[in-house]
Amino acid sequence: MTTDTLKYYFDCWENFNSCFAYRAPFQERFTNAILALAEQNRDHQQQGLNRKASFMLVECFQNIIKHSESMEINDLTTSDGGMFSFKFLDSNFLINSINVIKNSDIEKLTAQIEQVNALDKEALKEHYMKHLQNNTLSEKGGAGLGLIELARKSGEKILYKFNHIDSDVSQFHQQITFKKESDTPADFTKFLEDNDSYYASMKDRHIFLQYKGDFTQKAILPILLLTEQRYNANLDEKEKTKRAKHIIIEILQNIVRVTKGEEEELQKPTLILGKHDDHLYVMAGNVVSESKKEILTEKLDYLLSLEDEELAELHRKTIKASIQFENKESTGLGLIQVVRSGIEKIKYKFYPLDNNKFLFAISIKF
Amino acid sequence: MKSNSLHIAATDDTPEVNFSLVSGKSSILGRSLPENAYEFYRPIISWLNSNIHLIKHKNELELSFDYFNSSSSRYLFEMLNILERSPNRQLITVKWKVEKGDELMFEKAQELSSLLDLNFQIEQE
Repeated sequence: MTTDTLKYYFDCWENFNSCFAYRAPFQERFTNAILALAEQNRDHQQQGLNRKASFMLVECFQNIIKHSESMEINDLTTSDGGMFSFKFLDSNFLINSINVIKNSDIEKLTAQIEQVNALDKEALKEHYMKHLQNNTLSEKGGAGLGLIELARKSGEKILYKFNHIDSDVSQFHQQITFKKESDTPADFTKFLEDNDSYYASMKDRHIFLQYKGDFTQKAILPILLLTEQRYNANLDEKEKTKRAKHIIIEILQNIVRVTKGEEEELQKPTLILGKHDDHLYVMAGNVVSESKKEILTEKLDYLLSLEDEELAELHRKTIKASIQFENKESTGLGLIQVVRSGIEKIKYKFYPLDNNKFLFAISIKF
Repeated sequence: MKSNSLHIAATDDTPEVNFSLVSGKSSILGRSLPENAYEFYRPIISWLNSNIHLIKHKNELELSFDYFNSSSSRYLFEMLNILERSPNRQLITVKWKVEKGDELMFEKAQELSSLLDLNFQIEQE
């Protein structure tokens, strides 16, 4: 995985204020992490969107969990188990999910969605009340209530499709849309169609998490939790994941924040995490000015020119010298840490953008 | 009257801190990745500077971290540096516990200890 991968997604997401995608396997305990990641975003904090967006996220994610739990383990390979994603696009909010379902469930699910999509606001409310009273729980405990609630909260049709996998199972694609202005003519059906290629590109590149958005302190712990899940129990992988997590902290706290400034409004920072052939990859990118590009290039080229022992010595010297700084001045420890971290030299590149700005992209292998 | 012990409860991104230089048992445990390490560690460093004279008998500082970020390492070093400058530093033992197999924390513990003239015991357990 190279920095070009990051540039590719940076271009793909140009029109999104922020976005997130995570590939299966999923666990119930991720619900809070994904919610926290969405809620710390400034886009989420728009009036009228926040509570609904949170509700819809939880409902969609837990629907996937419910469906996954009902599948046999053999049906859910780690590479084909699905994807969960959300996007903020202007003032609109989209949730796309892909999960595997049994072919024998398709007919019932289609009928439920079609029924919900055919109802207007009042009829949906009535339908919801009727279901609540009848309490006709399905085997999965859903009673279709989740779908009705999603339709009520979003105020838009539930978009969906099925992709046949084999004679037993299919992929179920779903898109929930929330438009800030309900009469906006914007058509978001293309995102349901695009989801196939998007999912395929993540699989081909062995990416399990992508995030573009605000990186407040509250974003760090959810990202660490979602990373932890990717390692197996053996110590070697645990150690790699620990190193990767450590560097994710440094990248989010130092590189993303140090480089933020007036450019922040142009495009938000991005983070991509991948795993391939027992190696973890961390890629991060941010838009910087020409002057910041020069400073970073000088620092990184110097650090990359040093041998491991020289870097270790520089790290020790910098820690020793740091107590002479009375206040919060940056000591450069974070950048040294990042350069020392991978199993091979880190890769970085600046991609020219408009208005004398650059995309600063960095890639580290563990 | 100033308290001769210090206790700060752990949060999601800051460790539990206990200093009791009279009883001789102190510890910093958990994860340390605060957004603003200066704000978190400055009061602790200030307390330590004011109370370091309380070390009259054997003292043990237990350290154990899940993670600490680079800015925390700077303040951790500063705290240990205060202990190193104590006239009674020979009474101090820093016991740094590292989870078995956690090479990263082991390396970090070794690196910090190499910078200080203090009695360090790094234990992998």
